[in-house]
Amino acid sequence: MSEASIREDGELARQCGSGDEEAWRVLVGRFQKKVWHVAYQFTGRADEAEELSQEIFLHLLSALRTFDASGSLPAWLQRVARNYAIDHYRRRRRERSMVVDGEESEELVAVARDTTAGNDPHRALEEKDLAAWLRQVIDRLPSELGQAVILRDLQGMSYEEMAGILEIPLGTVKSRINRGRLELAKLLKRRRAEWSVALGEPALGETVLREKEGEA
Amino acid sequence: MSCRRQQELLSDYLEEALSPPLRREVENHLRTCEECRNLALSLKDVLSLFGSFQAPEEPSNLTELILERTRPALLAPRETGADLETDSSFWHSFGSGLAAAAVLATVLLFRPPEFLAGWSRSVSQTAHQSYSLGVRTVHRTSRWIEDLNVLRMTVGVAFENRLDRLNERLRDLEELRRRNGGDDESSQSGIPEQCPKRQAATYQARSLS
Repeated sequence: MSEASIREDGELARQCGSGDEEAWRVLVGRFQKKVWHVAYQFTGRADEAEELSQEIFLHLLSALRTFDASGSLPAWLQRVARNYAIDHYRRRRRERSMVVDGEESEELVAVARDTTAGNDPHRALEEKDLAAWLRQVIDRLPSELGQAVILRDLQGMSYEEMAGILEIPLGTVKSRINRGRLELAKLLKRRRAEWSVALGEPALGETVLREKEGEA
Repeated sequence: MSCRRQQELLSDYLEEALSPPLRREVENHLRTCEECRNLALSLKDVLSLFGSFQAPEEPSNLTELILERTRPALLAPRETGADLETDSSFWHSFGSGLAAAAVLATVLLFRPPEFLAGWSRSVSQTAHQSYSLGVRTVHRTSRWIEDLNVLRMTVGVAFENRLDRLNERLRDLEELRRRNGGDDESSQSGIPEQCPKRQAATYQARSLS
């Protein structure tokens, strides 16, 4: 990022902080897509993402006074938005907390059966729908596992970044990611088995091992 | 190694983050355990689906929604904002109590009770000065000062209302004095003769309250 653009961003932030409506409109226009993506990844629903996007910008506006004009505005904004989204995710999960300790719970299994696909097995096989289904099922994982999976697999954060932002040891970060992914994999496996029966297809036969050997 | 332990290693195995000995161990296990094999396949699909996950396009009116939601905070940026929403009531009530205490303490220390007989304007000015003194000495953060600036007017108005009531009582007392013989009563109450009528009445008001 050039010094000129840093200066421009710093001036833009200063104007927004002093209540300049035109400057604020420019800033919102520039960053709303990025904020929307963060909001959607953390909520998985368009209506909630819309609300969260507004909350994030409201928070950004008040946080602008803490922005160091010598730094990168996009990076700062991304960090503040993500931190707010994490807090929002925790709050939301606390409101509908569910305890799962290690094994699949009956509730998780029920969600795996019911979510998004309705009664049409063909629709369930579409990758786009499966991805949306997967995002919804993340919300049914224990909060710390879902949070870890979102940060790692949707936000693309490194283990080190996550350890810093979540204030937990690196080993705990990895453990949470692995456990969260495994829960999701179990649900996907069960779900596919159900659809295979429904469609009269053979059960899962191809192994990962064979695939990897084929790649080698 | 148990299936549970093997499964904990699957993520690292698929991301090729295992050391060669551990990788061979996992592969040997997958050759013999169909359940773990299928789970590894599902896990591979999960990772693939994460890669294809995309947020839909944002709503076309999102900009306007955001601008509308943030407009009040933008136009009053120092008093609103998400981080202040939760604690503003606390600061307002805390600041209110502090300001009232500062005003009263300063009034009692630096002004004789006779000033109560003055008109509302002079008293309001005194209250303002006292308040400012309290602000300078007690409040050092800008946030507190912002809250207190708002409260200044509130306290001033409340004080003026109080003085209106006191002035009404003073007028009643003056009327009473006139009916009872005027200057004779002020000498009976121990007030020096050179005191103006208004001050005498004030003295009485204070002793009655």
